[in-house]
This record gives sequence, C-alpha cells and structure tokens, in this order.
Amino acid sequence: MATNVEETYLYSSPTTFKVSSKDGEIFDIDDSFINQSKTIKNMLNVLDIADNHMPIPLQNIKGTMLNAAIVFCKYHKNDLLSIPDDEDEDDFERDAYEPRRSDDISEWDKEFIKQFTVEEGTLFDIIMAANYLDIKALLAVGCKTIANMVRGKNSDQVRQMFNISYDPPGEGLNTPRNSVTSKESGDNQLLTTQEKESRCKTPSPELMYD
Amino acid sequence: MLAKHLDSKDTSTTRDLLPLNRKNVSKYLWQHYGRTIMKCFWDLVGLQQILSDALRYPTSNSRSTINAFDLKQITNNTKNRRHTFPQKHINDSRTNDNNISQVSVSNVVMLAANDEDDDFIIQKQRPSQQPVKRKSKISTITITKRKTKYLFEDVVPVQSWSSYNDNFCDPYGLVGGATANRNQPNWLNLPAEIYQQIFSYIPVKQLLTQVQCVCQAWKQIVNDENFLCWAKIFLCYEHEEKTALTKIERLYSVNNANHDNILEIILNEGTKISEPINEDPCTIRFKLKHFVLEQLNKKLKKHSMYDYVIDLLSKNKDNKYEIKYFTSKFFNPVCTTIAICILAENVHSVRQLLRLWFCSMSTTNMKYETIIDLFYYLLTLFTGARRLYDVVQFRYPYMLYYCLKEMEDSVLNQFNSIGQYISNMYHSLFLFIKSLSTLQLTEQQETILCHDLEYNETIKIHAFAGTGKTTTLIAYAARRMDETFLYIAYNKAIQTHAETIFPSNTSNTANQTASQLVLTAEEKSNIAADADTVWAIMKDAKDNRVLMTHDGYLKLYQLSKPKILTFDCIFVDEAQDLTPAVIDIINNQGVSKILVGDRHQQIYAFRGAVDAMSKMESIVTFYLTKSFRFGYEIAFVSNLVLQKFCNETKYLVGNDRSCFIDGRSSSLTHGQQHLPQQKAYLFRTNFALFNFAVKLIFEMNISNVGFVGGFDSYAFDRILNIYFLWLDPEERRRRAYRIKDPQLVNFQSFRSGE
Repeated sequence: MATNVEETYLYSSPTTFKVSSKDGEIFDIDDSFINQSKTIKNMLNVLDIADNHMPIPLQNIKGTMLNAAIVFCKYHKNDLLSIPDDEDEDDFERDAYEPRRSDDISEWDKEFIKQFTVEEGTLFDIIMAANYLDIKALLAVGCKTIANMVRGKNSDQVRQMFNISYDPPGEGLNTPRNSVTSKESGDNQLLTTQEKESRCKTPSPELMYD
Repeated sequence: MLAKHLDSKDTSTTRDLLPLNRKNVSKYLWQHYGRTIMKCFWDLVGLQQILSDALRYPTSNSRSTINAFDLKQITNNTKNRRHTFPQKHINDSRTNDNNISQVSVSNVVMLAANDEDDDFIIQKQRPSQQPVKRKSKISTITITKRKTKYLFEDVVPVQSWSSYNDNFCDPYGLVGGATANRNQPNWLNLPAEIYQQIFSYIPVKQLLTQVQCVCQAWKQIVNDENFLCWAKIFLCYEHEEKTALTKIERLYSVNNANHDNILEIILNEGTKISEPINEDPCTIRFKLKHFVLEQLNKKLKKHSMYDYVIDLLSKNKDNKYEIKYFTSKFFNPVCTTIAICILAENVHSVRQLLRLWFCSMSTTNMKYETIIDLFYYLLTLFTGARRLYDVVQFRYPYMLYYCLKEMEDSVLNQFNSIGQYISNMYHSLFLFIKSLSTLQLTEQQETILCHDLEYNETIKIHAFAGTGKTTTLIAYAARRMDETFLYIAYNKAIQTHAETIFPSNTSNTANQTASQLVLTAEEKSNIAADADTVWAIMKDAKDNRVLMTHDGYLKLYQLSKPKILTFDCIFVDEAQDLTPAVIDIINNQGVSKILVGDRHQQIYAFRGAVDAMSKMESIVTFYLTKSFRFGYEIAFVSNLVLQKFCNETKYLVGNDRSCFIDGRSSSLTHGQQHLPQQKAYLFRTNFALFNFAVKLIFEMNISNVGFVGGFDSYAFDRILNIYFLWLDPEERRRRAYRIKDPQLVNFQSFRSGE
C-alpha cells in the first residue's frame, strides 16, 4: 500500500506557487494545498510552470473561498499521510465501541464549516470551490452539512431553505404532498418511475423570486 | 407591500390603520395572539443573538434590537395583565433586557417617543388586514385545519427588520418580490454528482418521502437508476413490494438455489460482480478496478476474521474466489466480505468490516454511496435468502442491517450540531424549546415529524419498546407550535410525566382528568336513564356505595357523545391498551389523530383492552424500530422471539452499547468496577415485586421508596381493609381494627362473602 500512497502523493516541491482568484486576490499555496487539490496538482503537472512568480488564475473561485480552502488544507495536510499508520495499531475492542472511519469529521471541521451560511450563498460557494479544486475532504464536509440540513425537514421546508421554487404546473410533480401520502404508494411510485425512467427532460425549475 | 410600507417609514399611515381603543385592542390581541407574540419575541431574541454573535451585522443589529425592545415591552405589559404567564419566560426576558440596554441605539428612543402607546408597536407594524385574516382563520378552525407553516409567517417585525437590511437575504422569501435574493445562489446549479453525494448521506426512506418531492431536478437525482439502487430495492423488499420480491425470487431460482447451496450462491453472486462479462445494470457499479480491489483486500486483511475466511474460500477447487491480475493474485474482497458476514460470530466483526470498507475510501477513491449500496446489495441477498430458505440463519441479514443502520445514524449525528447551528437561523422553534434541540432523532422519527397531517387524517405509529414513542410526539408538537394537541395517555404515571415534558401547546388528559369532564357532562345527560340500579348508583357521584370505576365513567363519557373541537390533533399514546369505549370516543372526533403503540406490549388486556392499532384505519403507518434501551444481544433475541411468536417481520435494532443476556450485568463486567447505576428488576406479579422490594429494603437499608403514579393510587388502605376483613371478626374487634372503606364496610366476613 505504501508504494501507492507514495505514488499518489509523490508530488512535492518545496517551492510555493501563487494563485489568483476570480476577484483578483493573490494567494500563496504550498504543498499542503497542492497535494489535496487534484485539480491544482494536475494543472501543475501539465503546465509545468517554472516561473512561480506568475499567479495561476482560478477564475471560478472567489477570494474568500480560496482562502478558506487553503486554511482547510493547511489543517489537514497530515491527514493523508497518517492514515496508513494509525490503522495498523488499531485495537479491536476499542473500535467496536467507537467506530471511527476515514470520513469521520473532526471538531475543527465542524467549527470550520460554521462560517459558511446558506442565505449568503457561502456554503454553496465553498462546495463549488471544493468541487472545482477537487478537494475530497472539504467536499465531504460540505456535503454532510447540507445533508444534515436537508434531513428531518419536509419538502416545503427544504424548498424554502434553499429557495427552490415549486415545479411549474402541468409537469407532473406540482403537488408534492400527494406522492407522499403513504410510503407504500411512495414505493410504488419509485418502481414505476424507475421502470419508466428514460431520461425524460427536466423542466428546469427557476428561482422563485427572480 | 409590507416592505414598501416600512421603507417609506411613514408611521402615520400605519397608525391610521389601527383600531383606536388601546385597551380593547390589547386585550383582544393578547387573548388571540398571545402565543404568536411570544413566539415572535423569542424568535427575535434568538435571531438577534445569533446575528450579533455570528454574523456581526452592524446594521441589522440595531434594527432587530428595536423590535426586540418593543416586544419586550409587550411582554412586560402582558406579564402584568396575565398572571398565568409562565415564570420562566419572564426571567428570560429580563436577561435579554440587559443585553438590549447595552446596545443603546438612538432609534429606540426615537421610536418609543414617537408613539404614545408604545406597547403595541408590534401591532402598528402589522398591515391592517392581517388581524382580520387571522381572525377568519380562527373562526374556521373546525372546518379546515389551520396550516400555518412557519412560525413567523404572519408576524411582522422579523420581516420588517430583514427588509430594512439590503444585504440580508430573506431565507423564506417571505418579504416577497421586494427583496429578491441577490446573494442567494441557485442551489439547483450544483452538479448532480454533488447532489448524489449529499443525498447518499440521507437515509433512503427520507429521500423517497420528502427529498424527492422538493423539485423535479431533485426527484430525478434521487430516482436515478444507479443512485443507491439496492438501498431502494431493499426498502421495497422490507415493505414486501411485489416487484422487489419477485426480483429476488427470480435471482435465486435462476441459480437453482436450494437449501444446501444457498450460501454458496450468495458467494457466487459476489464473484459475478467482478467478472468481465458482468453486464447486469444493478451490479455493474460494483465492478471495481483491480487497483481498488487490491487496496480493499489489503484493508480487509486487518479484519480479525480474515484468516478463517481465507481458509474457507481457499477450499474451493476452481479458485473461483480469487482474482488474478498479471502477477498478483488475491481473494476477491467482495467474496471475503460475504464470507465474513457468514462467519461472523458477533456484531463487532460486522462493524469492523464496515469500518474497514469506509477506511479504504481515502486510498481507493470509492464513493460513499457505492459502498453503502454494495452493503445494501448484500443485505438484500441475505434477507431474500432468509425469507425463501429456512436454513439461512436470521443473524446474517440482521447483523448487516444492524450495522448499516448504526452507521447511517452516526454519519449524520456527528454533524447534528452544525446542521442545527445553521438551521437555527431559520427554525427558531428550536430556540424555543432548547431541550429538544439537543435531542438526536432517528431517521424514522424524522420521517414522522415531516409528515403533515391532513384534516381528519389518522396515522399509526408502530413503535417497539424504548424506541422513543413519546419523544416523537413531543417533537411533533414542538415542531408545530401553532397547532394545538390533545395528549391522551392511559395511565396516571404517563400523564404526570407528560405534563412536565410536553410543550405548552399540548393538553394532557388521562383517566383522572377525564373524570372531571365526565362528571359534569354526566349531570346533564339522561342517556343512561334505563340503566340498571347498580349503574345508576355508580353514576351518582355522591353515592359512594358503589364507586365509579375508571371504565365506568369513560363509558358514560362515550355515551355523552363528546366532541373535542378545540384541538387540531389528538395524540393517543399506548394505543394498544385502549378500551373499546375510548376507541369509540376517539373515532368520533372529527380531527386528525396520531396513534402510537406497540401491539407486543399490551398489558391491559385483562380489562378488555383491544389493540386500537389494528382496529382503527389509517392511510399511513410508520414504524419506529430503533430502540434506545438495549444493545445488540438483547435486540437479537427479542427479534427472534417476535418473529417466531408474533409474526413480526420488521427488524428491531438497538443501540451500540454492549449488553448481556446470560445474567451478567454489563456494568459489572465492563471495566471491572461497580458503578452506581440504575438497575431494573422485572416481575410478572405485584406479589413478587413487593416481596422483592421488602427484601431489598431490609438488605440494602434503603430508606426511600418511590411509587410510580403516586402512593395513593395503589390503594394500600383498601388492601389493609381487606386484610382486616379477612381476619376473624373476633380478632378484628380485639385489635380495634376498623374497616373504613365504603365498599367493604357492608361486608360481614371475608369467607362468607356477605
């Protein structure tokens, strides 16, 4: 296993690079960021930038988000390296009572994600940034946060939280509650939709108050 | 429109819209909207705190302070007016008073000075038609159910404050078109893969009931054939959906399954996944790359059962379970996994197995969803095999199911605090009931909470022991503070407990409280005129020769054909123990009902209780199957018992603590130290219970003994009287014992029964 891990994360250069965000802010990035962001790593591999004074433009990401991502990567820089080690020493009894997995989230992450909100759109931005930069850990933290917000709410509440409109009438699902009345019927519906499923065109729902 | 009003800052126009008589208005308001006002106040306080602490909105701060200030005045005024006002709230408002006074904003003074009747600024900010609308709602309460979805939908100050601040986006879109959410991104722009990742953390049941109804795009993501395909099939299978049943049956019949080779067939299914010719759309996703398989194999080597499993798998002569890839040769990790599931002695092995799979995520880049779905695939295979062939042991599917549920719970529970932190900004009701916000509900409970009742709809909740029935009801009521609930419990102990924990919008009733109602109703009714004499005496509350039994006045109450109109919904706890009379009363109510019960826990059958859960009809049935009371071992045994004797098909799962069923106490063996823990002893009869209690009192020198439901309800006096009666009359006279019980006083001796 060790060889593979090394292969994957072999890329390490002592130098730092510069990246510029959408709004023109320039950040220094170091190994911790490059190793966790696959996009950047591939970019560096392909572009082979020798001159590290020229900032790499990241046109999709706002400065604040890029900054947050860099902070996140700095904190998590040792994660990938430490995983193979600590597994070997695992003592079986302890694990049985405290299941711990690589996708577990630390306290730090919880505090980290609290700075983002839905109504300002920053949570959305950080997820998009994580997706673009391909930072798996950050994406997972963001997704779990959203999942936790969606969970335990009914569809109306979710719609209002994320400001999603009802679907236009006549498209089939404009009366959402009817399809939920019983779980049995819900299941039926699932099957029929699955059988029928033939990539029917999505009526792209628009924002409620545009 | 509202925003316009407020933006213009024209106080005179809004003032004109108000009724003039201040006193009347205030009285009327408090009577009708007292709760809403309070709620609004707490919302504001909470919002203000969050905002000032977390968001650091300097502008909004001042604005919200004003509103909180106004509202505080209202509460102070109303406090003086209404003595019934809960003390706790007053205290809270005082603490906030301090907060507010620290932020001295000139606006506050100005506004307060502007309005001579400053206690009803809140009313001033209300658009004129609002109270009228509200009133009509109340008057039609009996005909159509009020559906106020959000707490401060019709409470103005929050909106006004948000509309003042341009940067603030109204999360509900309540303000309307005036402030279109400029900053809020279109969440539907998230790529489908990200949505799939998000949704894979949410239990399937909820995906299918709530999430897919959010919009077409989400529905399509949820219903994508490749997304959690087997989790969905398993859910159908659990509900005995025909398509799912035949699908699994076909799978086994194609392979000529019989009692002897069923486990082998499951193993073969595992090998089929990685075969190059595999084109099955349902399993092709599990066809992993060789690199991934190799990594997985390395991970699984750490499993404590790995050596046994390899021993078993290597018995196969054709080396079917091995994967050859150029020079490397290793056992197929999927087969290894299946074999571990088969050989696992206890639930820890399966837990460890799952954990290892998820640990491998970082090196193999597998998706969370794929792993979950693969385990659901195995679970479906095992469940199907168990269903079709008796030889398959129950523990195979059960252990997998247990661990999967445990994991689904834990993945999201670690994020609960954040989810709540963020949603608190929207759902202020969690601020309102602080204790609830720390509650971690299971997915099944959440599914129930999400279900909005239609008018006159009945839902049933089948809940196993210790699955949080009452908690679910409390949370249900807490979510809907704008509706009123009637809580019917069937014995005193539950009722008194419920009184302390239910939110204020729920009224409790049990036999005792019902008796008040009944006896007054009884005087007016002449229905039982032709009843026999005993009945007549029983009915007469003053005549204590024959006392009314609980069931007696309930029958009377039933005959009076009562209508409970003042509530939106009736909760019936322990519905399996209702008498036919109560069922009839409840059935005749034209409001929605929620019945909660467990038919396996019926204890009042001796007094003619019938299982209301099976008697009453409902459209929707929910299940609560996650018990907080015991761990795997007990859950496993109870499942076996329930399946064998009660034809229960649902799986009951427990918590993740260890427990013992062989008489050991878990507190003793774990850590070898005796902790001062609670202990419960169970008895079949009161006799054994009292005997044991007396023994404990003498042996352990216990000085305090508590009786559930109160000392009086045990009627010890009567028992003593019966003892006196049982004694020889001579003896009785000699010891100067006197029978005081009105029902016993007429008897001469115990033996003759006269």
